[in-house]
This record gives sequence, structure tokens and C-alpha cells, in this order.
Amino acid sequence: MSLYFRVKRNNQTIFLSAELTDTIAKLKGDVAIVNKLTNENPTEYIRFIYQNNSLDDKKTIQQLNIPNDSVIFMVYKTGENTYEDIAPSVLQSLQ
Amino acid sequence: MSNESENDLNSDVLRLYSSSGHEFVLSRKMSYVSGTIKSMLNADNSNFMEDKLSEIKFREISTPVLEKVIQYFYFKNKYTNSTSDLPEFQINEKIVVDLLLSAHFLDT
Repeated sequence: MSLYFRVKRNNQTIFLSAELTDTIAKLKGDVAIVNKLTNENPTEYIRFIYQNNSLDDKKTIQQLNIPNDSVIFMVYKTGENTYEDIAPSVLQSLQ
Repeated sequence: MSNESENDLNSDVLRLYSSSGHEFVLSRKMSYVSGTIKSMLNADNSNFMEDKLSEIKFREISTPVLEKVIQYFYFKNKYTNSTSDLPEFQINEKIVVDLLLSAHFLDT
């Protein structure tokens, strides 16, 4: 069963296709390919946020039960333990 | 991750830009729902820059309208040839007129 999510960060929305069996880690890998990020391990510096929760890399879409067409926010790591904030414009787009 | 699968993914990716410069990344195949986009990318004379770069800038389509159009691409692809009941495709009334104009332009 394939579905898609709208992954949003700053001025970008990625319509990311996924299968129920895909893990969050796999999807982060896809985002890295699309955005041509060269770092070896995307799961280390990309965080997906859905309904105010950071999504666990090891879980699958099926386990997380995220509906089709959902908006997932994405932030990059900015420091040892800090990540970007979600841009207000992105939050506002949830109309 | 092998380089091959990376290239596959990237060759299927299309970037559309709204009037405010918001970037939408989507699957090329999905975008063929739009007759306009399909001709921009597939013309016999494939010397179109749009095809080479896989980028199209829509200076007259706003971000919410472009987003709705792309959601429609996925919706149409999913339910074409389906016999099950279609879920409603919701449209925010504020964008209806602009959406209609853009859909007409995009032959969608």
C-alpha cells in the first residue's frame, strides 16, 4: 500500500512517497538523496516531527499509523544536541 | 546506499516553484496529470531547459494553490481506475477561484 507525506522545512515541501513497511530511517535516506545531502548518515542530523513528536528511526509507517497526505515537519541538527526550530511560515501553512 | 538507486530516485524527481519561491519536490510521473507540465517536459524537442533541469517556476501560482494542485496529482493517480468509493477531495474555499484558474492553465 503506498502513500505519501508532505515533508516540510522552511521554503520547501517534499511530497515523499512511502510504503507502510518503510522505516523512518529509510525515508530520511530518501530525503537526503533528494536534497543531495552528502553526510554519511542522514538519521543523525535529520529529525522528523509529527504531531509534536520526534519520530523514531526504527519504526515503520504502519506502526506509527500516520495517515496519507499528512504533514511531517523536518529539521536539521544545528549542534551537539540542538536542532532548528520549525519556521513559523511552515506552521502557518497548515490551514 | 547504491549510486544506482540514488540516480533512479533523482531522475524521477521534479521541482516546482510557486510565485513566492516555495519549492515543491515531487515525482515526475505524478506531475503528468497536468497536460501543460507533461508537454513542457516531454516535447519531441527535448531541449527545453525545464526538462534538463527538472525545475519549473510558476510565477503566477501561489504556494497554497500549487500545493493543492500537487495533492490533486497524487489523488488522481491513486484513484484512477479504482472502483471503490472516492474520498472527498477537500478544497479550502479561499483558494477555489485561483485554483480553478491555475488548474485550467495547467490543463489538469
